Amino acid sequence: MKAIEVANLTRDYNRLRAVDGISFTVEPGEIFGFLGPNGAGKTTTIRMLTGQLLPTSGSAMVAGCDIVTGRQSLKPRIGVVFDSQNIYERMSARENLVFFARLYRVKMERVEEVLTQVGMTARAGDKVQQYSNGMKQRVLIARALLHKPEVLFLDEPTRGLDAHIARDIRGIIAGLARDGMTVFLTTHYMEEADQLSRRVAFLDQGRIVALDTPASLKSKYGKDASKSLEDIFIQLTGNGLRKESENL
Amino acid sequence: MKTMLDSLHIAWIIGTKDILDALKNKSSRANIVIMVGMVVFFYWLGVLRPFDRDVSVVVYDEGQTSLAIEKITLENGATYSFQKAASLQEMETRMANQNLGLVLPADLDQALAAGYEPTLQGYVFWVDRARVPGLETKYSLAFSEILGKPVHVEIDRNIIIPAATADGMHSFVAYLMVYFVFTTALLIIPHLMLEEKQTKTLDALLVSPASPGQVILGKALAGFFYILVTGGLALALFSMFIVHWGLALAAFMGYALFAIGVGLLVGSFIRSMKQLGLWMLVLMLLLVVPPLFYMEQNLKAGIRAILTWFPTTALASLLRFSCSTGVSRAQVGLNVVIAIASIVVVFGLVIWKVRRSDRS
Repeated sequence: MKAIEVANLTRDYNRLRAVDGISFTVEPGEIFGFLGPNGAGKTTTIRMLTGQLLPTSGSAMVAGCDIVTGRQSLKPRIGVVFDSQNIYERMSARENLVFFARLYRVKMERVEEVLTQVGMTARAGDKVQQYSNGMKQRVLIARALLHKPEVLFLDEPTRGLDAHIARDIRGIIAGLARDGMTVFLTTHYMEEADQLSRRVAFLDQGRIVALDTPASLKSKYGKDASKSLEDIFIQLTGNGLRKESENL
Repeated sequence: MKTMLDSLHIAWIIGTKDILDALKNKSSRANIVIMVGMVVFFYWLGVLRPFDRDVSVVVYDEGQTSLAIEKITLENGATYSFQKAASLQEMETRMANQNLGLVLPADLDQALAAGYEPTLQGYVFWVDRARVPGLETKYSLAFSEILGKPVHVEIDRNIIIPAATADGMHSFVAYLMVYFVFTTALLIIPHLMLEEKQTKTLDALLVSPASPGQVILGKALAGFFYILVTGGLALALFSMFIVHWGLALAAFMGYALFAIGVGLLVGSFIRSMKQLGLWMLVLMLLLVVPPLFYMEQNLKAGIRAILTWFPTTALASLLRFSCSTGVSRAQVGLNVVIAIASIVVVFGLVIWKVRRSDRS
């Protein structure tokens, strides 16, 4: 069974087609990079795959659950780290995690386990509003891991973090995949995608314009060996941007 | 059954989180403290305390006694001021907002001269029967000092409960309850929902096992807790006015449910603090003002008829009935129907809004 199976998934917002008939699969234990410029439809796709948004058409199965009809069964099987740092700021990291542990009916020992896993034990009792962005991001990852999900969705997990913390977070993500967790990762950082993902998909104007391993993409689209994943990304996804600037 | 218990369990977890979180939020904490302060303030204002140190007495004199009808200050500092009534009936009518009605027997002077301890009949509004002996002692001592001879003031069963339609404290209590409950609900519940939206923690809740309905129920529980704090405190402090406890508690639940429904509805629509401020203003005008006007006895019949159909007027009427005598089933029935219909409509709108916004 695939961890994620997407077939012709489409989502319209009034007249705007945000996601346009995308199809792909993700294997269990794979880190799948989902890349695209701003407004390409990455977050809309994540919102559909996590049951927050209904697709206009098409279908998807995540961890064996239909995203439309099996929303409640899907919830305990997935973890989501959002692109915003959406934590209860007046509560401590531990209080945040205890609250979600109660919702997921997870044993309280698990709270300490995930705090250790993300390296937040020492400051777990402090209010979140006193944390740096990096610390908040660790808490968000801990929250998403509380119930040991089969599939973890990470929406721009290192955005706005300094290099050291971003590296730590990437280390955590790589560790999760080594432990067999499927990770669906969106990021703006091509180097990060190149380093972490087994396969990447480039999304442009709601459509997947390329999908393969970073190495295959480089050999397929790179005319010389020096081309990076970022060069290929710009080459493949610049179409929409060019059209936009022409319209200006 | 299991699903329902699961739903309640999740709503309870969210509700308790919100209750504690509101206490950590400075503005929510300030709102709660202000509301509790207002409840206590109105209680201590004196208007709602029939038996304090400044006692107004309406006197019906059966004979021509020597009691001086003037303001008297006793040794303990308490002041007694007097009004005369020509009959027992007038005394009862005129003491609507007074502290004490007193009947002076025709033979009062003779009894005092002969050295007997005469008995004066005292009348009070809405007093708990358990407090009667204390009041009898208080007034016996006061009037013994005023008359210079020992007298006994007997209240016993002379407890006056006015009609629902009469002007009096029961209307004011019912109105204050509308004010306390609705202000609390509108200050707390939409704020709880707005904050979840603005910080996007709502997204985290909705990918957890909590459904949109359970999140809403959790907010309702938190709102109910704070309504219990302010409204419950008011109900306890004003309990001396309540004659029909069953009706009073039902009316209070009606207040709470309708206020929670309105709070949730506002919370589900608004997206900013600015919008919340605007909605608060509009809703306070629509919900809190009608029962205030309805208290006015000289209101034009047409306006009164329109105000009758406002949910908060119906709820206030039910609470007023619980503090009254001579209430007909028809009077209660109409207001119960209006209240239940309003609660159903407002919760129907909340469910409609939540379903419409979910996953769209």
